[in-house]
Amino acid sequence: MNVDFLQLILTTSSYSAILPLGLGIFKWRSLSFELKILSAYLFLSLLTDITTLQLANNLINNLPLLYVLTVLEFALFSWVYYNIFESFHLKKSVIVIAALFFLVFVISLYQNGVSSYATAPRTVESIVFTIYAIIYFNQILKGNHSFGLEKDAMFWFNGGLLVYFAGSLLFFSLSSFILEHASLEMQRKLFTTPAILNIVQKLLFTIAIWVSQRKK
Amino acid sequence: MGQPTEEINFLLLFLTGTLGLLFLASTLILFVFINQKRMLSQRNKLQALKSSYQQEMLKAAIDAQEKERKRIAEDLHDEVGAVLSLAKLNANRANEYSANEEGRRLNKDTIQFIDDTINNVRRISKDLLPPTLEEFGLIKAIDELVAKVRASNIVRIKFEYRGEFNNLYPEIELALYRIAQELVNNALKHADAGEIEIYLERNENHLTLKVLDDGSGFKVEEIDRKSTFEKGIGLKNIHSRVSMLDGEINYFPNLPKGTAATVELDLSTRIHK
Repeated sequence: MNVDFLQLILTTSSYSAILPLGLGIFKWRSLSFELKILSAYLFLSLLTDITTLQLANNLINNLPLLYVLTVLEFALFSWVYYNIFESFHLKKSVIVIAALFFLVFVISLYQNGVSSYATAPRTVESIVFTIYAIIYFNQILKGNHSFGLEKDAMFWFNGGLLVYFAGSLLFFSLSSFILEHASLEMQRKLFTTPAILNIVQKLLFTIAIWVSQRKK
Repeated sequence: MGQPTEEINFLLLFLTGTLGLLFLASTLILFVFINQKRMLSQRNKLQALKSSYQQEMLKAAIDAQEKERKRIAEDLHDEVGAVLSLAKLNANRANEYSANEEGRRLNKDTIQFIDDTINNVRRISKDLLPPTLEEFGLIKAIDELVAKVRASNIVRIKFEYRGEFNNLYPEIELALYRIAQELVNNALKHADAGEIEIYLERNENHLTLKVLDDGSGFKVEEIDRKSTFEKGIGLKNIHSRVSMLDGEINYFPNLPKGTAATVELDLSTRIHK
Protein backbone atom coordinates (compact mmCIF):
# COMPACT_ATOMS: atom_id res chain seq x y z
CA MET A 1 0.00 0.00 0.00
CA ASN A 2 1.72 3.15 -1.20
CA VAL A 3 -0.07 6.16 0.28
CA ASP A 4 1.31 9.68 -0.20
CA PHE A 5 0.59 11.02 3.29
CA LEU A 6 1.87 14.51 2.50
CA GLN A 7 -0.50 14.78 -0.47
CA LEU A 8 -3.33 13.42 1.68
CA ILE A 9 -2.74 16.09 4.33
CA LEU A 10 -2.53 18.88 1.73
CA THR A 11 -5.75 17.70 0.04
CA THR A 12 -7.60 17.30 3.36
CA SER A 13 -6.47 20.77 4.38
CA SER A 14 -7.80 22.26 1.13
CA TYR A 15 -11.25 20.74 1.71
CA SER A 16 -11.29 21.22 5.52
CA ALA A 17 -13.51 24.31 5.30
CA ILE A 18 -16.40 22.17 3.99
CA LEU A 19 -17.40 20.94 7.47
CA PRO A 20 -17.66 24.32 9.29
CA LEU A 21 -19.08 25.99 6.18
CA GLY A 22 -21.79 23.31 5.81
CA LEU A 23 -22.69 23.69 9.48
CA GLY A 24 -22.66 27.47 9.11
CA ILE A 25 -25.12 27.30 6.21
CA PHE A 26 -27.31 24.84 8.16
CA LYS A 27 -27.40 27.12 11.23
CA TRP A 28 -27.26 30.40 9.27
CA ARG A 29 -30.42 31.93 10.72
CA SER A 30 -29.31 31.33 14.31
CA LEU A 31 -25.71 32.52 13.79
CA SER A 32 -24.46 35.70 15.41
CA PHE A 33 -23.14 38.46 13.15
CA GLU A 34 -19.50 37.51 13.90
CA LEU A 35 -20.13 33.89 12.95
CA LYS A 36 -21.79 35.00 9.71
CA ILE A 37 -18.55 36.85 8.90
CA LEU A 38 -16.65 33.67 9.77
CA SER A 39 -18.89 31.65 7.44
CA ALA A 40 -18.25 34.14 4.64
CA TYR A 41 -14.51 33.70 5.27
CA LEU A 42 -14.91 29.90 5.19
CA PHE A 43 -16.61 30.15 1.81
CA LEU A 44 -13.76 32.27 0.40
CA SER A 45 -11.18 30.02 2.04
CA LEU A 46 -12.71 26.87 0.52
CA LEU A 47 -12.85 28.50 -2.90
CA THR A 48 -9.20 29.66 -2.84
CA ASP A 49 -7.88 26.45 -1.20
CA ILE A 50 -9.45 24.22 -3.84
CA THR A 51 -8.28 26.50 -6.67
CA THR A 52 -4.79 26.67 -5.14
CA LEU A 53 -4.63 22.87 -4.92
CA GLN A 54 -5.78 22.43 -8.53
CA LEU A 55 -3.23 24.99 -9.76
CA ALA A 56 -0.42 23.29 -7.77
CA ASN A 57 -1.41 19.87 -9.14
CA ASN A 58 -1.18 21.33 -12.66
CA LEU A 59 2.17 22.95 -11.80
CA ILE A 60 0.82 26.49 -12.19
CA ASN A 61 1.99 29.19 -9.78
CA ASN A 62 -0.76 29.60 -7.18
CA LEU A 63 0.93 32.24 -5.02
CA PRO A 64 -1.08 35.23 -6.40
CA LEU A 65 -4.19 33.61 -4.91
CA LEU A 66 -2.52 33.61 -1.51
CA TYR A 67 -2.28 37.42 -1.68
CA VAL A 68 -5.99 37.65 -2.38
CA LEU A 69 -6.86 35.29 0.48
CA THR A 70 -4.49 37.06 2.89
CA VAL A 71 -6.00 40.51 2.37
CA LEU A 72 -9.59 39.21 2.54
CA GLU A 73 -8.78 37.05 5.57
CA PHE A 74 -7.22 40.01 7.38
CA ALA A 75 -10.19 42.26 6.61
CA LEU A 76 -12.81 39.70 7.69
CA PHE A 77 -11.06 38.63 10.91
CA SER A 78 -10.41 42.30 11.79
CA TRP A 79 -14.12 42.93 11.33
CA VAL A 80 -14.86 40.09 13.79
CA TYR A 81 -12.41 41.52 16.34
CA TYR A 82 -13.86 45.01 15.87
CA ASN A 83 -17.18 43.53 16.96
CA ILE A 84 -16.01 41.35 19.84
CA PHE A 85 -13.58 43.74 21.49
CA GLU A 86 -15.36 45.65 24.24
CA SER A 87 -12.92 48.53 24.66
CA PHE A 88 -13.41 51.55 22.44
CA HIS A 89 -9.63 52.01 22.15
CA LEU A 90 -9.17 48.42 20.97
CA LYS A 91 -11.89 48.89 18.36
CA LYS A 92 -10.08 51.99 17.09
CA SER A 93 -6.76 50.11 17.14
CA VAL A 94 -8.23 47.35 14.98
CA ILE A 95 -9.06 49.91 12.28
CA VAL A 96 -5.63 51.58 12.47
CA ILE A 97 -3.81 48.22 12.38
CA ALA A 98 -5.92 47.11 9.40
CA ALA A 99 -4.87 50.29 7.54
CA LEU A 100 -1.19 49.69 8.44
CA PHE A 101 -1.47 46.08 7.32
CA PHE A 102 -2.86 47.20 3.98
CA LEU A 103 0.22 49.44 3.63
CA VAL A 104 2.57 46.50 4.33
CA PHE A 105 0.56 44.43 1.85
CA VAL A 106 0.90 47.01 -0.95
CA ILE A 107 4.62 47.56 -0.29
CA SER A 108 5.25 43.79 -0.27
CA LEU A 109 3.28 43.38 -3.49
CA TYR A 110 5.21 46.26 -5.09
CA GLN A 111 8.63 44.99 -3.98
CA ASN A 112 8.26 41.23 -4.53
CA GLY A 113 5.61 40.97 -7.19
CA VAL A 114 2.45 38.88 -7.20
CA SER A 115 4.25 35.63 -8.08
CA SER A 116 6.31 35.52 -4.87
CA TYR A 117 5.22 34.16 -1.49
CA ALA A 118 3.40 36.78 0.64
CA THR A 119 5.99 36.43 3.40
CA ALA A 120 5.73 39.88 4.99
CA PRO A 121 1.90 40.14 4.95
CA ARG A 122 1.48 36.57 6.27
CA THR A 123 4.03 37.16 9.05
CA VAL A 124 2.46 40.46 10.08
CA GLU A 125 -0.99 38.84 9.92
CA SER A 126 0.17 35.97 12.17
CA ILE A 127 1.62 38.34 14.76
CA VAL A 128 -1.45 40.61 14.73
CA PHE A 129 -4.00 37.80 15.14
CA THR A 130 -1.90 36.02 17.77
CA ILE A 131 -1.92 39.26 19.79
CA TYR A 132 -5.66 39.83 19.15
CA ALA A 133 -6.44 36.31 20.40
CA ILE A 134 -4.37 36.89 23.55
CA ILE A 135 -6.15 40.23 24.12
CA TYR A 136 -9.52 38.52 23.70
CA PHE A 137 -8.58 35.83 26.23
CA ASN A 138 -7.55 38.57 28.63
CA GLN A 139 -10.93 40.22 28.04
CA ILE A 140 -12.61 36.91 28.94
CA LEU A 141 -10.67 36.58 32.19
CA LYS A 142 -11.38 40.18 33.19
CA GLY A 143 -15.02 40.14 32.10
CA ASN A 144 -18.20 38.75 33.57
CA HIS A 145 -18.74 35.60 31.54
CA SER A 146 -21.79 34.00 33.09
CA PHE A 147 -21.40 30.66 31.29
CA GLY A 148 -18.64 28.12 30.63
CA LEU A 149 -16.22 28.76 27.78
CA GLU A 150 -17.08 25.43 26.19
CA LYS A 151 -20.35 27.11 25.15
CA ASP A 152 -18.69 30.31 23.94
CA ALA A 153 -18.36 30.33 20.15
CA MET A 154 -15.81 33.16 20.23
CA PHE A 155 -13.55 31.21 22.60
CA TRP A 156 -13.30 28.39 20.04
CA PHE A 157 -12.88 30.89 17.20
CA ASN A 158 -9.98 32.54 19.02
CA GLY A 159 -8.53 29.15 19.90
CA GLY A 160 -8.56 28.28 16.20
CA LEU A 161 -6.86 31.52 15.19
CA LEU A 162 -4.25 31.29 17.95
CA VAL A 163 -3.29 27.70 17.17
CA TYR A 164 -3.09 28.36 13.42
CA PHE A 165 -1.27 31.69 13.43
CA ALA A 166 1.08 30.99 16.37
CA GLY A 167 1.94 27.58 14.93
CA SER A 168 2.47 28.91 11.40
CA LEU A 169 4.39 32.03 12.42
CA LEU A 170 7.79 30.42 11.89
CA PHE A 171 6.74 28.94 8.55
CA PHE A 172 5.35 32.24 7.25
CA SER A 173 8.38 34.25 8.34
CA LEU A 174 10.75 31.72 6.72
CA SER A 175 8.59 31.03 3.66
CA SER A 176 10.70 33.03 1.19
CA PHE A 177 13.85 31.40 2.50
CA ILE A 178 12.28 27.93 2.25
CA LEU A 179 11.08 28.48 -1.34
CA GLU A 180 14.49 29.80 -2.32
CA HIS A 181 16.80 27.35 -0.58
CA ALA A 182 14.99 24.11 0.25
CA SER A 183 14.60 21.19 -2.14
CA LEU A 184 11.13 20.51 -3.58
CA GLU A 185 10.71 17.45 -1.34
CA MET A 186 11.63 19.51 1.74
CA GLN A 187 9.24 22.27 0.63
CA ARG A 188 6.40 19.73 0.45
CA LYS A 189 7.25 18.46 3.92
CA LEU A 190 7.36 21.96 5.38
CA PHE A 191 4.11 22.97 3.69
CA THR A 192 2.32 20.23 5.63
CA THR A 193 2.85 22.22 8.87
CA PRO A 194 0.40 25.04 8.04
CA ALA A 195 -1.80 22.43 6.32
CA ILE A 196 -2.14 20.38 9.53
CA LEU A 197 -2.72 23.55 11.55
CA ASN A 198 -5.31 24.65 9.00
CA ILE A 199 -7.20 21.39 9.56
CA VAL A 200 -7.05 21.93 13.35
CA GLN A 201 -8.23 25.54 12.91
CA LYS A 202 -11.20 24.48 10.79
CA LEU A 203 -12.15 21.82 13.36
CA LEU A 204 -12.11 24.49 16.09
CA PHE A 205 -14.20 26.77 13.85
CA THR A 206 -16.66 23.87 13.45
CA ILE A 207 -16.97 23.65 17.24
CA ALA A 208 -17.46 27.45 17.39
CA ILE A 209 -20.38 27.26 14.97
CA TRP A 210 -21.73 24.09 16.61
CA VAL A 211 -21.93 25.62 20.12
CA SER A 212 -23.16 29.01 18.94
CA GLN A 213 -26.49 30.34 20.14
CA ARG A 214 -27.98 33.63 19.15
CA LYS A 215 -27.83 36.18 21.97
CA LYS A 216 -31.30 37.25 23.11
CA MET B 1 20.83 24.63 2.23
CA GLY B 2 21.93 22.24 -0.51
CA GLN B 3 23.23 19.38 1.67
CA PRO B 4 20.77 16.79 3.08
CA THR B 5 22.34 17.18 6.58
CA GLU B 6 21.71 20.93 6.48
CA GLU B 7 18.12 20.30 5.38
CA ILE B 8 17.55 17.84 8.24
CA ASN B 9 19.05 20.31 10.72
CA PHE B 10 16.81 23.05 9.36
CA LEU B 11 13.78 20.77 9.53
CA LEU B 12 14.56 19.87 13.15
CA LEU B 13 15.02 23.52 14.10
CA PHE B 14 11.84 24.47 12.28
CA LEU B 15 9.83 21.73 13.94
CA THR B 16 11.22 22.58 17.38
CA GLY B 17 10.31 26.25 16.93
CA THR B 18 6.85 25.48 15.59
CA LEU B 19 6.11 22.94 18.31
CA GLY B 20 7.37 25.42 20.92
CA LEU B 21 4.99 28.10 19.66
CA LEU B 22 2.15 25.58 19.50
CA PHE B 23 2.89 24.47 23.04
CA LEU B 24 2.71 28.10 24.21
CA ALA B 25 -0.57 28.69 22.36
CA SER B 26 -2.15 25.49 23.72
CA THR B 27 -0.99 26.27 27.27
CA LEU B 28 -2.52 29.73 27.01
CA ILE B 29 -5.86 28.34 25.78
CA LEU B 30 -5.87 25.72 28.54
CA PHE B 31 -4.94 28.34 31.15
CA VAL B 32 -7.81 30.62 30.08
CA PHE B 33 -10.25 27.70 30.02
CA ILE B 34 -9.32 26.36 33.47
CA ASN B 35 -9.07 29.81 35.07
CA GLN B 36 -12.44 30.93 33.73
CA LYS B 37 -14.01 27.67 34.99
CA ARG B 38 -12.54 28.31 38.43
CA MET B 39 -13.74 31.94 38.40
CA LEU B 40 -17.22 30.87 37.31
CA SER B 41 -17.37 28.25 40.04
CA GLN B 42 -16.24 30.81 42.66
CA ARG B 43 -18.81 33.34 41.40
CA ASN B 44 -21.56 30.71 41.57
CA LYS B 45 -20.55 29.77 45.12
CA LEU B 46 -20.59 33.45 46.12
CA GLN B 47 -23.99 33.89 44.49
CA ALA B 48 -25.35 30.85 46.33
CA LEU B 49 -23.92 32.19 49.59
CA LYS B 50 -25.50 35.60 49.00
CA SER B 51 -28.83 34.05 48.11
CA SER B 52 -28.73 31.78 51.16
CA TYR B 53 -27.84 34.79 53.36
CA GLN B 54 -30.75 36.79 51.90
CA GLN B 55 -33.04 33.81 52.45
CA GLU B 56 -31.94 33.59 56.08
CA MET B 57 -32.47 37.33 56.57
CA LEU B 58 -35.93 37.05 55.07
CA LYS B 59 -36.76 34.08 57.27
CA ALA B 60 -35.48 35.92 60.34
CA ALA B 61 -37.60 38.99 59.47
CA ILE B 62 -40.74 36.89 58.98
CA ASP B 63 -40.05 34.91 62.17
CA ALA B 64 -39.63 38.17 64.09
CA GLN B 65 -42.88 39.46 62.61
CA GLU B 66 -44.71 36.28 63.64
CA LYS B 67 -43.23 36.39 67.15
CA GLU B 68 -44.34 40.00 67.52
CA ARG B 69 -47.84 39.12 66.31
CA LYS B 70 -47.97 36.27 68.81
CA ARG B 71 -46.85 38.56 71.65
CA ILE B 72 -49.45 41.22 70.76
CA ALA B 73 -52.16 38.55 70.37
CA GLU B 74 -51.34 37.06 73.78
CA ASP B 75 -51.13 40.49 75.44
CA LEU B 76 -54.48 41.47 73.94
CA HIS B 77 -56.08 38.24 75.09
CA ASP B 78 -54.49 37.94 78.53
CA GLU B 79 -54.22 41.56 79.63
CA VAL B 80 -56.69 43.73 77.70
CA GLY B 81 -59.24 40.88 77.58
CA ALA B 82 -58.91 40.21 81.31
CA VAL B 83 -59.29 43.90 82.23
CA LEU B 84 -62.32 44.21 79.96
CA SER B 85 -63.93 41.16 81.56
CA LEU B 86 -63.32 42.71 84.96
CA ALA B 87 -64.82 46.01 83.76
CA LYS B 88 -67.90 44.13 82.52
CA LEU B 89 -68.22 42.39 85.89
CA ASN B 90 -68.02 45.74 87.69
CA ALA B 91 -70.53 47.32 85.35
CA ASN B 92 -72.93 44.43 86.05
CA ARG B 93 -72.51 44.93 89.77
CA ALA B 94 -72.92 48.71 89.42
CA ASN B 95 -76.25 47.97 87.76
CA GLU B 96 -77.51 46.42 91.00
CA TYR B 97 -76.62 49.57 92.96
CA SER B 98 -78.10 52.00 90.49
CA ALA B 99 -81.12 53.76 91.95
CA ASN B 100 -82.74 55.31 88.93
CA GLU B 101 -83.83 54.18 85.46
CA GLU B 102 -81.43 56.50 83.55
CA GLY B 103 -78.44 55.11 85.49
CA ARG B 104 -79.44 51.50 84.67
CA ARG B 105 -79.88 52.37 80.99
CA LEU B 106 -76.41 53.95 80.87
CA ASN B 107 -74.95 50.88 82.60
CA LYS B 108 -76.63 48.56 80.08
CA ASP B 109 -75.13 50.57 77.22
CA THR B 110 -71.71 50.45 78.89
CA ILE B 111 -71.95 46.65 79.26
CA GLN B 112 -72.88 46.42 75.55
CA PHE B 113 -69.83 48.58 74.61
CA ILE B 114 -67.60 46.37 76.74
CA ASP B 115 -69.05 43.22 75.12
CA ASP B 116 -68.42 44.66 71.65
CA THR B 117 -64.85 45.57 72.62
CA ILE B 118 -64.21 42.10 74.09
CA ASN B 119 -65.44 40.56 70.82
CA ASN B 120 -63.26 42.92 68.79
CA VAL B 121 -60.19 42.16 70.90
CA ARG B 122 -60.84 38.41 70.46
CA ARG B 123 -61.23 38.86 66.70
CA ILE B 124 -58.04 40.93 66.37
CA SER B 125 -56.17 38.47 68.58
CA LYS B 126 -57.36 35.54 66.44
CA ASP B 127 -56.45 37.37 63.24
CA LEU B 128 -52.97 38.00 64.57
CA LEU B 129 -52.43 34.37 65.51
CA PRO B 130 -55.15 31.91 64.54
CA PRO B 131 -55.15 29.28 67.31
CA THR B 132 -56.88 26.82 64.95
CA LEU B 133 -53.76 26.72 62.81
CA GLU B 134 -51.57 25.61 65.67
CA GLU B 135 -54.14 23.24 67.12
CA PHE B 136 -55.89 21.72 64.09
CA GLY B 137 -53.68 22.53 61.08
CA LEU B 138 -53.91 24.37 57.78
CA ILE B 139 -57.19 22.99 56.41
CA LYS B 140 -59.21 23.83 59.52
CA ALA B 141 -57.59 27.28 59.71
CA ILE B 142 -58.52 28.10 56.10
CA ASP B 143 -62.00 26.65 56.75
CA GLU B 144 -62.34 29.08 59.65
CA LEU B 145 -61.11 31.98 57.50
CA VAL B 146 -63.64 31.07 54.81
CA ALA B 147 -66.47 30.77 57.38
CA LYS B 148 -65.62 34.20 58.76
CA VAL B 149 -65.65 35.81 55.28
CA ARG B 150 -68.86 33.98 54.41
CA ALA B 151 -70.54 35.21 57.61
CA SER B 152 -69.93 38.80 56.52
CA ASN B 153 -72.34 38.22 53.59
CA ILE B 154 -70.26 40.50 51.38
CA VAL B 155 -68.97 37.81 49.05
CA ARG B 156 -69.56 34.19 48.03
CA ILE B 157 -66.52 32.11 48.96
CA LYS B 158 -65.61 28.46 48.58
CA PHE B 159 -62.66 26.33 49.58
CA GLU B 160 -61.67 22.96 48.15
CA TYR B 161 -58.62 20.84 48.85
CA ARG B 162 -57.12 17.60 47.67
CA GLY B 163 -54.26 15.64 49.19
CA GLU B 164 -52.64 15.10 52.57
CA PHE B 165 -51.79 18.23 54.62
CA ASN B 166 -51.33 16.82 58.12
CA ASN B 167 -47.59 16.36 57.91
CA LEU B 168 -46.62 19.85 56.76
CA TYR B 169 -43.92 21.69 58.61
CA PRO B 170 -45.44 24.48 60.82
CA GLU B 171 -43.57 27.28 59.00
CA ILE B 172 -45.04 26.12 55.69
CA GLU B 173 -48.54 25.90 57.19
CA LEU B 174 -48.26 29.40 58.63
CA ALA B 175 -46.83 30.86 55.38
CA LEU B 176 -49.58 29.24 53.27
CA TYR B 177 -52.25 30.46 55.66
CA ARG B 178 -50.89 34.01 55.60
CA ILE B 179 -50.65 33.96 51.78
CA ALA B 180 -54.24 32.73 51.45
CA GLN B 181 -55.39 35.31 54.01
CA GLU B 182 -53.59 38.14 52.18
CA LEU B 183 -54.91 37.09 48.75
CA VAL B 184 -58.49 36.92 50.10
CA ASN B 185 -58.00 40.33 51.74
CA ASN B 186 -56.75 41.76 48.45
CA ALA B 187 -59.77 40.39 46.60
CA LEU B 188 -62.09 41.92 49.18
CA LYS B 189 -60.36 45.26 49.67
CA HIS B 190 -59.01 46.18 46.26
CA ALA B 191 -60.74 44.03 43.66
CA ASP B 192 -64.32 44.44 44.87
CA ALA B 193 -64.91 40.76 44.16
CA GLY B 194 -68.33 39.07 44.32
CA GLU B 195 -66.96 35.54 44.42
CA ILE B 196 -63.71 34.02 45.73
CA GLU B 197 -62.47 30.46 45.28
CA ILE B 198 -59.56 28.86 47.15
CA TYR B 199 -58.01 25.60 45.95
CA LEU B 200 -55.29 23.72 47.75
CA GLU B 201 -53.76 20.67 46.17
CA ARG B 202 -50.90 18.44 47.15
CA ASN B 203 -49.42 15.86 44.85
CA GLU B 204 -46.56 14.06 46.62
CA ASN B 205 -44.01 16.84 47.05
CA HIS B 206 -45.70 19.40 44.87
CA LEU B 207 -48.11 21.81 46.53
CA THR B 208 -50.34 24.33 44.76
CA LEU B 209 -52.45 27.07 46.29
CA LYS B 210 -54.85 28.92 43.97
CA VAL B 211 -56.96 31.91 44.87
CA LEU B 212 -59.37 33.09 42.18
CA ASP B 213 -61.72 36.05 42.24
CA ASP B 214 -64.09 37.76 39.83
CA GLY B 215 -63.07 41.27 40.85
CA SER B 216 -61.77 44.19 38.86
CA GLY B 217 -58.41 42.43 38.34
CA PHE B 218 -55.08 44.04 37.57
CA LYS B 219 -52.54 43.98 34.82
CA VAL B 220 -50.21 41.06 35.48
CA GLU B 221 -47.29 42.85 33.76
CA GLU B 222 -47.74 45.76 36.17
CA ILE B 223 -47.17 43.48 39.16
CA ASP B 224 -44.08 41.91 37.58
CA ARG B 225 -42.73 45.31 36.55
CA LYS B 226 -43.20 46.95 39.95
CA SER B 227 -40.14 47.02 42.19
CA THR B 228 -40.28 45.67 45.73
CA PHE B 229 -40.72 49.21 47.05
CA GLU B 230 -43.61 49.97 44.71
CA LYS B 231 -45.62 46.90 45.69
CA GLY B 232 -48.10 47.29 48.53
CA ILE B 233 -47.39 45.79 51.95
CA GLY B 234 -49.80 42.92 51.25
CA LEU B 235 -48.13 41.92 47.97
CA LYS B 236 -44.69 42.38 49.52
CA ASN B 237 -45.65 40.03 52.35
CA ILE B 238 -46.94 37.43 49.91
CA HIS B 239 -43.77 37.61 47.81
CA SER B 240 -41.50 37.45 50.88
CA ARG B 241 -43.24 34.35 52.20
CA VAL B 242 -43.21 32.62 48.81
CA SER B 243 -39.55 33.46 48.42
CA MET B 244 -38.79 32.16 51.93
CA LEU B 245 -40.28 28.81 50.90
CA ASP B 246 -38.31 28.78 47.60
CA GLY B 247 -41.62 28.77 45.83
CA GLU B 248 -43.08 30.59 42.86
CA ILE B 249 -46.09 32.88 42.58
CA ASN B 250 -47.80 33.76 39.32
CA TYR B 251 -50.77 35.94 38.52
CA PHE B 252 -53.09 35.27 35.60
CA PRO B 253 -56.26 36.94 34.38
CA ASN B 254 -59.25 34.88 35.59
CA LEU B 255 -61.41 35.05 32.47
CA PRO B 256 -63.94 36.54 31.85
CA LYS B 257 -62.94 38.84 34.71
CA GLY B 258 -60.86 38.82 37.84
CA THR B 259 -57.50 37.50 38.92
CA ALA B 260 -56.05 34.07 39.58
CA ALA B 261 -53.01 33.85 41.84
CA THR B 262 -51.12 30.57 41.90
CA VAL B 263 -48.48 29.64 44.44
CA GLU B 264 -46.40 26.56 43.75
CA LEU B 265 -44.07 24.91 46.22
CA ASP B 266 -41.64 22.05 45.91
CA LEU B 267 -41.67 20.25 49.24
CA SER B 268 -38.99 17.71 48.37
CA THR B 269 -36.25 19.86 49.91
CA ARG B 270 -38.34 20.58 53.00
CA ILE B 271 -38.52 18.46 56.11
CA HIS B 272 -42.01 17.34 57.08
CA LYS B 273 -43.39 17.04 60.58
